[in-house]
Amino acid sequence: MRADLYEITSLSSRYIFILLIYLILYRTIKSIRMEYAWAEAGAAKISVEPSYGIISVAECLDGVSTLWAGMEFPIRKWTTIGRSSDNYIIIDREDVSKQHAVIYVDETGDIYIKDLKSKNGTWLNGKRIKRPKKVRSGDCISIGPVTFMVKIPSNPKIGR
Amino acid sequence: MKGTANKNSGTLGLIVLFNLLGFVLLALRSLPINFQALRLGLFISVIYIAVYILMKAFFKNCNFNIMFMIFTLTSISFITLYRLNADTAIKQVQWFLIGILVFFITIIFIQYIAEKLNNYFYILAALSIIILFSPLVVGVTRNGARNWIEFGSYTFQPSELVKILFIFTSASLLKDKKSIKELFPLMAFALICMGILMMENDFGMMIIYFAIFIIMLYIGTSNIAYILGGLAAAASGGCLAYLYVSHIKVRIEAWLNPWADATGKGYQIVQSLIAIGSGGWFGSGVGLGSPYVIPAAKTDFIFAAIAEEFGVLMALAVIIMYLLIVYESMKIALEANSAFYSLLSAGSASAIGLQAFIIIGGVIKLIPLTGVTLPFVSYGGSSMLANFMIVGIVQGVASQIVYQESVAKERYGESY
Repeated sequence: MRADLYEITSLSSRYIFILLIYLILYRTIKSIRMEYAWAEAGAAKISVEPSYGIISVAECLDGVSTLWAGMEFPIRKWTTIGRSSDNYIIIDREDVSKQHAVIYVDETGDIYIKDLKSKNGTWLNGKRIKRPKKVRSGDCISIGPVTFMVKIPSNPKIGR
Repeated sequence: MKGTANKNSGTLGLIVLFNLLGFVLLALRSLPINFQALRLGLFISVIYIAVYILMKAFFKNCNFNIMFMIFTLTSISFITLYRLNADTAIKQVQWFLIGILVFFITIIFIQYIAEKLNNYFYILAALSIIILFSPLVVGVTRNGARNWIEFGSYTFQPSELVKILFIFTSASLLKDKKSIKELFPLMAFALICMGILMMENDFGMMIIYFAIFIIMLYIGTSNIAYILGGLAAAASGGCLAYLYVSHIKVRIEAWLNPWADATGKGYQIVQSLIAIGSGGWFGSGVGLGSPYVIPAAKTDFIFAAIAEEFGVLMALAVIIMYLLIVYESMKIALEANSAFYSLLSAGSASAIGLQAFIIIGGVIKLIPLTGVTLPFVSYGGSSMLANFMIVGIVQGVASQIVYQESVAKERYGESY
């Protein structure tokens, strides 16, 4: 192409380059914002999921990176406890089984704790449990190095 | 993610259009139309589309926004490099292909293997130190830094690849250690790495390692004292280096007033500033500027070459793209399931962001100049591979999040 013709083409196409690049940026930022909106909608869904009480960490020995004393978790319909990272409450210690125990709510609204055939056992108020046991407010649950305290509102409608 | 999936391809179309427009312009530059440029432009576009389809099919939980930013950055890079030297651009496209392969391997590695490796701190640390040390024994010196190893006609820079091992090593210890006593081995390891880089005269990399280390330490422990201590150490180290290391003193003087010695010590910065200034907001137009006068225009100073021919607006867009990559990677780090993955992603994000900041800052005379590569844009094989591994780590963590969510849903139902 002739030099002057190329100059005109190149000079005019620089505006197209800028336009294209900002269109790409605009679309990307819009897509990020939409993901954010999706995530917010998801978070809203989680927060309306009923909570049946609170389980707080009363005592936590050293070496557990994921928990510390005073932490509180809402009790869900299925609150899983264990070492592997897909649990609701993770206790990152070798003496805790991967799927250690589960706190669940039955149809009548009563809360139970069940040991998932863990190696070192789950303890309710100092006793090792074999079958699912009903949990009441003020009970202590010990799993490995951690002791949890259970708080359940007396009126079961509160907190739901 | 689901809502935006079908609109993604539009962005890809724009990127392909951008790429083709650039190469068509380059093909028309001289009278016998340069078909090589056309073929290369088409080939790159096909690769972009192929990678996108592959990811949609096999790695659909990855973050596509990061991918699009990388495509755009590499496209700008290929156009600029081809304009400077056709052979360099073709070599860079080859490295890009290898990089894509490495990228997919890294995703698979992170998703299925990485977590089993996270308890071998000492092995990883020893490996990093040995590889980092090797250029001092068998390496060659380039631009005053002894940080290259030669394999036949190929040269590679171990510090680029060890950066990734460094992130892995730090994450493997930081994931469950909090107190200063437990973190002592990590601090010793970081100090040894930085000492080796200092012996190699690779100060840019040293700053990057140090900053990654401090950022990961803060993310891992949530203790602001480490950041303050790190800043104090960096400030005092900088002052000492200014006083006692002669070529750092030269660099800082060239930064404070490059015009004082515009043909000598300040030459690089002066040429870069003139190039950026002569381009203006919209640039001189592809093929109409004179990027050849910028020293190291293919590697460290490629940002100045882009600013000259594409304009300051394009240069700003490049900076925004790095910001978006860092933003998305940090978001992935926040969502990650375990501390190890979270630290990996955050460390990777800071590696890319810091490297871009240090070299762009140096080129526009914001901070003293240290020679590091501009991720995905500068010419260089080890840099391309290292950056693809880093992004592969981030994407692997992103896939892991969705993978674990689906496992949990299967096991406990939707109520999880």
